[in-house]
Amino acid sequence: MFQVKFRQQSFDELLIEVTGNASVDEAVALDRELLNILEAQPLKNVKLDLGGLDYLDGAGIAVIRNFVRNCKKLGNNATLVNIPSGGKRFLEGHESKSFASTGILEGIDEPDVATQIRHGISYLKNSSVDMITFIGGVVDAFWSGLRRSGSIKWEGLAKLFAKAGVDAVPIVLALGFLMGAILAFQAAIQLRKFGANIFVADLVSVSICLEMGPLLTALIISGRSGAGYAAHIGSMQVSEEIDALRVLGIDPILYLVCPRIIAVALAAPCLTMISNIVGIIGGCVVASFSLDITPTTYFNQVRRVLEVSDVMKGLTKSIVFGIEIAIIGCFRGFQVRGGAESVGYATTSAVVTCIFVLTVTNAIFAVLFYYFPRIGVF
Amino acid sequence: MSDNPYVSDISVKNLTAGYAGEIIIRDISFEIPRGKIFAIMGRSGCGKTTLFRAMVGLLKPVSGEIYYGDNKMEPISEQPKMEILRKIGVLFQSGALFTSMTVAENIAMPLLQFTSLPETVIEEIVDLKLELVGLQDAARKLPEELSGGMQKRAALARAMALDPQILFFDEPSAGLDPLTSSELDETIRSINSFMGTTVVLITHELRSVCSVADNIILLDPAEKTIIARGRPDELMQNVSDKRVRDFFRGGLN
Ligand SMILES: Nc1ncnc2c1ncn2[C@@H]1O[C@H](COP(=O)(O)OP(=O)(O)OP(=O)(O)O)[C@@H](O)[C@H]1O
Ligand SMILES: [Mg+2]
Repeated sequence: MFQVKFRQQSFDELLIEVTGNASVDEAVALDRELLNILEAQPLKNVKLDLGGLDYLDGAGIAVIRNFVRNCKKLGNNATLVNIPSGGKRFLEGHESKSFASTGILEGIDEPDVATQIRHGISYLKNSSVDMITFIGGVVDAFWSGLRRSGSIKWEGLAKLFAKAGVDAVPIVLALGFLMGAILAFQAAIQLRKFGANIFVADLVSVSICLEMGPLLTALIISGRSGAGYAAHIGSMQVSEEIDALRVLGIDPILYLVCPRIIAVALAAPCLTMISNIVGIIGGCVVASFSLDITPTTYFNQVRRVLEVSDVMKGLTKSIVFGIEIAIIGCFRGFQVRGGAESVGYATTSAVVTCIFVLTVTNAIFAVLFYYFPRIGVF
Repeated sequence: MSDNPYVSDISVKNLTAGYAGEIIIRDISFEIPRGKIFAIMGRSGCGKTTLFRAMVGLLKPVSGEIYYGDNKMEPISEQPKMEILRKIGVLFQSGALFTSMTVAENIAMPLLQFTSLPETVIEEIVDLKLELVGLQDAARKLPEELSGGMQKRAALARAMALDPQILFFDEPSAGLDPLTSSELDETIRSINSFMGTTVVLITHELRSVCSVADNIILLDPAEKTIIARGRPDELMQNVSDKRVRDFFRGGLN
């Protein structure tokens, strides 16, 4: 507890005496009381006597400093007397100091719109340049890896493939099946109107093999491997592991990025194939329950309309998607500077960048397949 | 041991380095004689790690050169000098063990990278190095399963895996108890005397520096450069420069 007493000492001087404890628990009350006294008294000179204090901690010191600040604001002259020895270093001569701390919690001013746009553009430019440099580094690493093929040192490919591919099978199975079923449901509602029930097989099989399968799988891989690579490489960056690789003369791109690209480029078409198969099965289940199409009829129809080239086109796309995801994930990881927050940011931006790039690539493929139908047919 | 007696000499010539336009150390020159223990000292934030990163090629200097013997060091990202990297071992301030590998695999890494020794020999070397730092039982553990001090020692074993001619230590004893840290001093000194290894030591530990180092340079955060150099006893006797006096006296009081 603390007590505050005050009295007029001369015609223009007020003496305030604080006794007891000025601790963090009392700080709020003490601060308010001192301010009340200041505001109620019209006297010009204020003397604060701290001689009676038994205990003074950081919060107490801060309250007294705030008192000095308030005095200045109100136009009073503050003097501190009998400062306890522990607080001398922080309080002595404080009356005459200017307040360096004013506004330090207010956050940095946001720049105006024009500046922000300028920053945005230069960020975009820099990150494109970085990305292109990185891709150059990857190509270079592959090239030098090929030349010294006997002595390539990189992380175990099998383990990476198992993580990117095998571990993703359950979720690909589940989502692929649902995707096929949903497509069949939507189609069923429309096709029943025309009595064109059997075409559900056409719709499901072609759209899954060409579009939905590759894209869905790629999205799953972005969320698992793309984000995972960004986080892993990012935290290696933070813990100086990348530097440790460099001083061993190991190119981190060859060691970390190349095997990941290969692993994902192999895993993506495998997963896509799985997703295609269960998607078509999902369509079959829905067709037989809600459209009265027997599985035999359904699969006969699928065989008639689904061409090998459709499947191959989808798989070609998925290989490209896989390469892109691995590159983006690793690239975001290498961009990490500083600490944990930066790793989190890299993970998020890896997924967002993947989704953006996948969508654009898919659009490019759509145009290519339209004008050059023979792409992807081997 | 070495075929080329000049290789271990390091000379730093007019080195200026920093980050993103901000200069941290300016116009630094010094020579590290072969087979000596050379200490870089200075207050926290004066740029010791920065200097060390530039010396091993992790940071591109703004200007100036670093020579290992008569071989010029280039930034690793631009032109990795394998013949230099082969001869240096680095202990990072944070240890920097590869978290996805066991301790033994960590230590085997430089051996696999730079030699084509048979696996059994590599295993023997790993065993030997673990014994040297007293971690025989931790070989199959992952770094995350070790205490901070054990990680430091494992990282030390990795740095020494190839018996490098030059060892860089960035604060090897930070986070170690006094006993382990003086054992570490002993290890450093014995590596230096038995194998003639040049040691570049960054540290705050005055006691260990005074007992171990042959030469010291003292960096200053305000001057951004070397403010004193010499043997430990010379610097301890220095009374003319207040900053040097404070640094060495203040630490021992
Ligand atoms: N990556 C970085 N980007 C920008 N500035 C940095 C970076 N790393 C260090 N600095 C700055 O460079 C200065 C020197 O840092 P450095 O790590 O070299 O100090 P140090 O002497 O090793 O300190 P300590 O003894 O605490 O390890 C510091 O002021 C720091 O703020
Ligand atoms: Mg440091």
